[in-house]
Amino acid sequence: MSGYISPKGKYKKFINKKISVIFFFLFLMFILSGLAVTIGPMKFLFHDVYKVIFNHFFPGCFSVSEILEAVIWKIRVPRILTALLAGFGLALAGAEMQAILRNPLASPFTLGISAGAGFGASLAILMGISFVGGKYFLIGNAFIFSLIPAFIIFFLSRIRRVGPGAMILAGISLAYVFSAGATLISYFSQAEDLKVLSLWMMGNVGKTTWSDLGPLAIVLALGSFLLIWKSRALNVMNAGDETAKSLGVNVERTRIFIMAISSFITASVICFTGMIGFVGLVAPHITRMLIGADNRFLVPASGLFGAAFLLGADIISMKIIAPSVLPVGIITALLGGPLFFLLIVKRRGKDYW
Amino acid sequence: MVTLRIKDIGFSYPGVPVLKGVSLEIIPGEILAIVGKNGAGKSTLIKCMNRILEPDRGKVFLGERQLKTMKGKDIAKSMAYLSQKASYIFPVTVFDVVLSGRYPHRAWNSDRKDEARVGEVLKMLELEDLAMRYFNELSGGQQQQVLIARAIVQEASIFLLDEPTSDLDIKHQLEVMETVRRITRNRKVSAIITIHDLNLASRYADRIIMLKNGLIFAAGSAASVLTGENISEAYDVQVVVNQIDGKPHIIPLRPIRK
Repeated sequence: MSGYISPKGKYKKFINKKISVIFFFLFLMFILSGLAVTIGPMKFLFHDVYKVIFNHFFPGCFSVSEILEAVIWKIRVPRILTALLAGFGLALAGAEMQAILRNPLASPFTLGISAGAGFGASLAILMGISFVGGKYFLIGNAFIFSLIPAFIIFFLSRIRRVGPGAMILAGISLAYVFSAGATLISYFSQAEDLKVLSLWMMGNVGKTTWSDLGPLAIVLALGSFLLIWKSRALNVMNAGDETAKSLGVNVERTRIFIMAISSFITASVICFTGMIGFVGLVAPHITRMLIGADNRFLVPASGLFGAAFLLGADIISMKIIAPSVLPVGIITALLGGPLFFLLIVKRRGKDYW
Repeated sequence: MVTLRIKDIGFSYPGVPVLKGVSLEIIPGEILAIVGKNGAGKSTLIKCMNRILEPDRGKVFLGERQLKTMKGKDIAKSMAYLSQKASYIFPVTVFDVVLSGRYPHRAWNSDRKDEARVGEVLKMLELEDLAMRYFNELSGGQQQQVLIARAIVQEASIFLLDEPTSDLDIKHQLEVMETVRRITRNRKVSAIITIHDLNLASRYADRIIMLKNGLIFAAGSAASVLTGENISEAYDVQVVVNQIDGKPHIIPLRPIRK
């Protein structure tokens, strides 16, 4: 029979489409990176910028001025890499959290991570108290405190065997406690310190240096490897805990494992960047609209889309009131919010996708 | 063929004893129906059979091995569970749902052979046209057929079905039961089914177990279990029992007030 395609053949096409979307996101990431490196408060000629880049791969090819070298290699490239890594990590963690908690409202911050980080930053900036000294006084404290709510929830779920719904509610209640703690400290603080804190909280990918990128990249590489490895178990858990158990998934252990790694990735990102909202909630949804809920593809694709999305937002944040630069956290929500709203309204009649 | 034996299992939800010592053995290739009124422990019993719930006491043996000591994936290679209300929170295609039946057999990803197997089973159950549809958009009857396809792909020799016919119209009820019968006959699979409809149980089950208050109240052939006396005792309902095709046919009359 001509024109007949077997289910297996159709499925193959379906998978190929997902893979091409992943390649498209990769391509988008490269294009945006190429564009971003030419953008900034200082104006340089297009080919001068690329001379600096080439010079790092093939030393001695071109002669470049010191100022050009400093701006491109020490400021712009780390900024681009931070945007890519942060966007990738937050979107990946968001996709994992939504799947493992079986809730479309879940995000990397669902377990109270951002409130914890905010509290840690408040302690460091406003009261000068930190677990960590030296260069990582602020970053280290934000990191440690961001993970405290998550670990309280893991601990409770071990001893009380609570399900996903109770975990989300526990996360929300702990987030309120930590936010209130931060507000309490703020109430007794100086105006200048508060300005520093609120700038930190806004979310900015321009604060990192090459030496920060190493640890961040290692955490993301390891974490995403483990998460992608677990994505088949995550697919089975989409059917609910009982079915997942009946197919041989250790549901409780897998849930804690995935949440712990996602939280660790999120904490590693936001201690360097501050709160970049929205990417972690929305990138997985937009990706799911395009390629469906199969986590083997959704998880890496969300990460790549998140990376492109955050870099795109950062380009806008540098352009919109140039030569001044807005914190990217404002742009992700200000532009991403309406975009997502439109997508949801257009898909009337469907609950999720 | 793997056998399943249950010895004196008990299970309580906090403060509420549900099973109080149930023993039974599954005969390979049979359809075993578990009946009893709401709260009698039917669903709990089949969930204890494949460790979705851990019994408080008693033992479950899969072949020679105790279920407690086995790995989840090894249990899944022998036993499939079809839940009463299947729902995928994020939409996935029928093909993906059936493919997930290969999970216990693969360490990492599914491969070509797995996909080919899914294709075969979809064809066998005449579900080919639904392959790329979203599972959540199917009717209840189609969903049950897809779950049966998943269990076949899982290569389980024991199917546990928790009220597979509850939400279905009469035609789909019969279709699901016919599929179950076909599979048990052709593939030597045993099916354990909790079911409310005593007439379906009577017609399709090789053996029936009637539960009352967490204990086996009656067990055996349809003719010996589904008597007017047993049903009034287990369900508090007055019934008339006729015969159709040599099997008991139950017509409920009125509840018995105590």
